[in-house]
Amino acid sequence: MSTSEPVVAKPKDASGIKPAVSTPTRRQYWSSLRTMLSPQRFSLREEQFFLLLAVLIGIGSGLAVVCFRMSIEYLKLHLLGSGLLPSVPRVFLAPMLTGLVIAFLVIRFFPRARGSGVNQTKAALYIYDGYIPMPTVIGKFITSALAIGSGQSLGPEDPSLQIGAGIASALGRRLKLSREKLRLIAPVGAAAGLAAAFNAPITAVLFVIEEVIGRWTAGILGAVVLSAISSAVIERWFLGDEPLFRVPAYHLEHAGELGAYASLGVIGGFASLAFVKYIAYLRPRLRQLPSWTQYFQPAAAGLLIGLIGIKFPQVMGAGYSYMDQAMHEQYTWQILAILGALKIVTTGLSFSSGTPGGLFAPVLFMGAMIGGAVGMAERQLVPQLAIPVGAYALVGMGTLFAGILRAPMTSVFMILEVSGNYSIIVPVILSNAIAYFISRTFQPTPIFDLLSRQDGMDLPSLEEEREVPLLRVEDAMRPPLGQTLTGKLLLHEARQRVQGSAQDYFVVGMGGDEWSGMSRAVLLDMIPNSDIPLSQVLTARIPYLHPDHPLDTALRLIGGRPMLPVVHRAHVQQLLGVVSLDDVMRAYRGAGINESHPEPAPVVP
Amino acid sequence: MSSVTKSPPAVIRCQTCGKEIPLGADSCPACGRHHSESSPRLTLAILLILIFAGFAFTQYVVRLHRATEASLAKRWFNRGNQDMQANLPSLAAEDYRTALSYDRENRQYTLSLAEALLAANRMNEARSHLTSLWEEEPASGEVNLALARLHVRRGDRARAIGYYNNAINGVWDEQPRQQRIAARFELVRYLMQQHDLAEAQAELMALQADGPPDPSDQLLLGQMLLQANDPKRAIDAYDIVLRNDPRNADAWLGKGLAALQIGDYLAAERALATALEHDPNSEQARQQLDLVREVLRIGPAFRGLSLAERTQRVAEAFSAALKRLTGCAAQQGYSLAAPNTAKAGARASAAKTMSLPTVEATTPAPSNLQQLYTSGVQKQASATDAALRRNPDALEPTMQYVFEVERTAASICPTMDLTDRALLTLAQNESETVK
Repeated sequence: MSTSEPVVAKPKDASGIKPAVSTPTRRQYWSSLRTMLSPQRFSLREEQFFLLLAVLIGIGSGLAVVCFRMSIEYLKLHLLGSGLLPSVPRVFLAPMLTGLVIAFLVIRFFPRARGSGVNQTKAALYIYDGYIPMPTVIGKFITSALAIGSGQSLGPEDPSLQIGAGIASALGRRLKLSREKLRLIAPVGAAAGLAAAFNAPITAVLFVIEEVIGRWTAGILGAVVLSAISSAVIERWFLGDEPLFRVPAYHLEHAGELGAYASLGVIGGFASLAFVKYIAYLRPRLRQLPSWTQYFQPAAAGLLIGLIGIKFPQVMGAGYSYMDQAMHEQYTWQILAILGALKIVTTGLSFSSGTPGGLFAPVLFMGAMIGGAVGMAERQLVPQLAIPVGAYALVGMGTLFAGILRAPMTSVFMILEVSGNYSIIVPVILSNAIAYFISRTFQPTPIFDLLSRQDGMDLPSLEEEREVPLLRVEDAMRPPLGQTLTGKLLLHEARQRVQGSAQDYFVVGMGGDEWSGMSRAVLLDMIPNSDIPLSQVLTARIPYLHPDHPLDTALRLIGGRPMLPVVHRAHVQQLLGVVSLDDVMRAYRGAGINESHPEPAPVVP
Repeated sequence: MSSVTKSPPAVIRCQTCGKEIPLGADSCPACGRHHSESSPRLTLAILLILIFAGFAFTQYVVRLHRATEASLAKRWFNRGNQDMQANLPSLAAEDYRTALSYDRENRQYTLSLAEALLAANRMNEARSHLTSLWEEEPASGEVNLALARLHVRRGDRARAIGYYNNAINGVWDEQPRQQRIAARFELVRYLMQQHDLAEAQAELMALQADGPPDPSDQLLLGQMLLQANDPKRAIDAYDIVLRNDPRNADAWLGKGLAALQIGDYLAAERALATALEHDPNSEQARQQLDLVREVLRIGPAFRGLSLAERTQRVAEAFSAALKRLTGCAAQQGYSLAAPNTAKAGARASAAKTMSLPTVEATTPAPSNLQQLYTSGVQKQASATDAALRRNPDALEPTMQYVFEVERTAASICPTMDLTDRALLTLAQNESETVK
């Protein structure tokens, strides 16, 4: 494959002697200063400008998310009161009455504010060229704050993601970025929003790559990282750098502990499955009800949540303080198990009713409660396992995250980031892998894909991309039967070889790492009996491939050439085979790529 | 600022409705909005201004929120303190927890929450919070002391002592010396509860070497030394208090008790009399003074006593001991059998002359009481004043018998009269008395 030469900067004055300089006049001085400070001098290419913009988006999103969180706290304080255990009238009335207001606002003014915000951002990237209307951002801010503040079982992270993406989108439009950059700017803002909401920039970057962009691409990775970091810095500036949870210390002391975490993975996997199936069942049915009922669905969900909240107020809102309590063994395992189950019910109600709000915090809540319950039950069954319940709760969070949101890498790094404890990585990976496997086996479509298909959209996902087998050059190449010549051959020798062969095109090894090619007709047209070496006649070079190259690379490089040589990576002159356009197409046809595309889910109007 | 070099987009989207607009069109065909060619540099400048404005606004909002949170945290914390004072630890724990939700980094709130949970007997929760605090500050005296209390409640002696020692050597934010002294006193109390007097004495010696500046601490030190059977050091502690406050009745009382324990009865009488002089209402001082005076009246081993006085006291003590023995047996309903039937009449006459209570008892007395009674009846003839004068060598064995009777009877019959208490005191200080 051809490679570009590295560019070496040459010194302007190779002799090293300082040139004689005449003293500038005042006019010349001002002129040179103006030149130095002129806008042209500071002109940025779009890529550089995009990185600068990513930082600004991070700052803006960080500020917006801090205000969003303050709004939630303010509303919670005024709607549910200042105590951890709110009074019965507030618990009963606040989510129901606020639900009516939310439904009115969403239906009348902000129809796109419905849902978590992840799929909406993804849709902006893949369908609407990065376009997220500003009213949607404002609507998301207001309605999500109202919903979470009033006790609906939803979290602020996914709306923050959409708010960040919306700010980025508005900025990109305002600055008239190219269509390509405009499309990519939404994920940059999404990472910023999520990083500020979670105080976890690595988690935000990974989630945006795993769930929003849906593929690993180096193109915007730098911008995503920059925006996430700048947003997290802003969040920490205002709200402090304390971690999300005060996690008790944990050290893996005995390999037998892994068995306990494996059982948590199994239970967490089935709990994840139950939640996804529940949403998959309830959401389309609620949306199929007459349209006027949508005015009352959030209120009805709020009423049911309020009724549950009278006895178990922990399930209301994002519930971070209760996760903290679960980590500090405040509840018995029975209470923890009940809270985990009730959170599945209440989150399903809130989310399926169309109330704007995120799934992150509820999923973490479920994980903390189920993890804590498993930990406490195991402690009673096997007292020798002196694992702190906090560690179980933490691993449980990652487990449910991996099982429900199906972002396994994000879930591992999220736990590391929120706990700051690297000893927990092995249990987290083990438990997450088991939950992920169970969830994927019994529910092939991830929840965000499921939701987008219910909404009539078909958005790509990293998980699906992983499922598609990657075809490589080795799947298409064939042996070079009589199609090889070397540059050292004299023309008449080459003619003799060609005349004895039935092939129409030959690849020629030119020595070093160069290859060329020529057709039978061209060679036979050359002067016979010439003693000139073939290498002197062939000046054009052709690219070469390696067997592990993706087949897509072969398609890009082959151009109009009949075939390309496939060579050994360590010995470039060693020809392993050749590949032609027909070979490539045959390989694609053989893999049946088009047939592997998943069946679309039924669309809900 | 900067200018942007970029490739022109093929189409642009309307900023209002999102519909695609052909490049170069002045207005959106869908919504009619006019699209001006504003400079990206101007937009960036506006953006920077907006960011600064947003920064200021967010700062204001966050400060306002922080102030509200701080006020709420304080209010809930005070409510928790009130509940703790009202002995409602579970309610207090909820209040502290709410306070903590508004000020998560406040160690005082966490510690108060842990203490409330401890008081509410919710050990696991308390341990979890305390462990978190300890991990943050392993040298904190407060946290180590709370953990020591937790392990005391859990019955984990080794860890409790370990955390007490950490607390004693730990870092205290306020009044570190007093806090360390208080922690060591608490450790001593715990060790005494565990009947580990040797360890308790060692800690008390360390305390004495440290020299608590507060007279009340010195007084407490004296009391604890006395409890730990170290009366000599207790007297030193009381002397320090009396040096600064010679009218301190408690110190005089303690000193008197310590002297009594040592067997220095004259010093004890002086100290207790002084204690009573400074605090005439002290019942304990009065009782102890009576006891000391009785000891001085009945004790046969004091220097300066003539042989006649000694023999008289020993004989009187013997009679008292025999009376105590039969009285205790009668009180418990035991029947003391005479040494042999021939001497049954002698026993009856002895009981008559000593005006012993005659109880119709049917339960046989324990063997030790019976043995002491048999031995007493046999010694009766040789323990009279006249017999002892004739044989002064019998003084000591007779007193040994008296002490044995008093010790044995005290373990069976706790109530006794003043003379028996005096004899028991002498018995307890036997090694000092019979010299």
